[in-house]
Amino acid sequence: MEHKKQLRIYLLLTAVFMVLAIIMFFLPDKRVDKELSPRTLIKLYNHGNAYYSVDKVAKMIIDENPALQLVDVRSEAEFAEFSLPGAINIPLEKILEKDEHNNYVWKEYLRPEKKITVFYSNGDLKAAQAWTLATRLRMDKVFMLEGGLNNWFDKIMTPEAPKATTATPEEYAAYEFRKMAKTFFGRANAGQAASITAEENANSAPVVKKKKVVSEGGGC
Amino acid sequence: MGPLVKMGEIAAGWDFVIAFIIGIFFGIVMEQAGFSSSKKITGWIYGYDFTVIRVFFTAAIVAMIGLVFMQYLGWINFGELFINPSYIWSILLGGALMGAGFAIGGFCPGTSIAAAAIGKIDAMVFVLGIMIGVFIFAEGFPIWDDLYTAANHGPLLITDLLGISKGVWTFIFILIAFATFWGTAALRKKYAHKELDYNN
Repeated sequence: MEHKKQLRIYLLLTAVFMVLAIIMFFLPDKRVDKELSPRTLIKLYNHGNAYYSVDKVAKMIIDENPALQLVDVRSEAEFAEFSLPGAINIPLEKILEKDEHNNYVWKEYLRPEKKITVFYSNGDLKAAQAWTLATRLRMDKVFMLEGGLNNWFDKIMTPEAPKATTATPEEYAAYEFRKMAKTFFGRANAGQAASITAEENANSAPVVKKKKVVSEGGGC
Repeated sequence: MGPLVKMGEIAAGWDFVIAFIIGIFFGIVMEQAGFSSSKKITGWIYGYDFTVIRVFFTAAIVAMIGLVFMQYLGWINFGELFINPSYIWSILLGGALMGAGFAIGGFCPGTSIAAAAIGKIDAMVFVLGIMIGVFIFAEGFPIWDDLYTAANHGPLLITDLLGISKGVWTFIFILIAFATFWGTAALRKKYAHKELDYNN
């Protein structure tokens, strides 16, 4: 008796799923948009989280934060002349190049799942283009350096003392940090200049290639 | 409308909290379903219990039907779902290793934690084994990095590969699932042990 009841349930379930299966067969496919919708993109941009301030990036570099991946989107020549410590160079002109699998070549050098990617250029414009493309391709944790290298030089390399009469303690703290950062990067840049000359002698391209690492999936 | 939570919308760090809470309930349900017993889990290999296969197929077809319907109704945009990239060698070798561990150890990673939580010693040993494996994998990563990341085909879908619609693939998969359900029922009748005690 028990067995018969079970069998009846099984048969009923099978029938229900067969009907569903036939409906599935005739359901039309919808076009899938692989890129982020413009509306979501604008929302992300206006969220205010698209930028990293120069102070934040400076602190991450000094702390040797392993999650930070700086990406210089200026030309190779400009990158060779000056770059932030630990940055890799992906010139904006090359950002639309694709490999044989129709994937963007530069994506392989980033670790979107693990790293915080910060694009920078001299100003905001080139970095913003790279950010837009990367964000539309649904890359995670992608940001821009606010104000670019120009802002970097203004704030970090030539910090301005706050006005004694109006300054808040926060402004003083920021100034103290920038003075410290200036000393740090002053040394780091001196070292870098030497290494660049060595690289130029070897006549090698400054594009740093990184091994790609991709996230793991789930299990049972 | 969907997905309810878009990629990157949860603040970093909170995803672990959410995963922890979901994980607790997942563990409770698995334990209640009897998946904390290695006899039940490996039963399909020896032919006396096919619960694991049935559960996987049921979960798959329910999710498939739901997703295809929601897509049709415009509730979900497939482009916004995360799809794991396909690394062919990782899938083949990793799958073989995992299967061997499954058959020898009698658990899969999730169920071993659930079983260890209710005090099963074999599961605790299994979890220790996982830790050792994770350690070796992480420390030796440079050795297998190239193999691990080789043959990347990106977020590959079988429907794109075969050039059929998701609905047709769901139809085929439901047929496969029910063939498996009825086939395993017949096998079970032949090999089942009448007096199997899952608690020991």
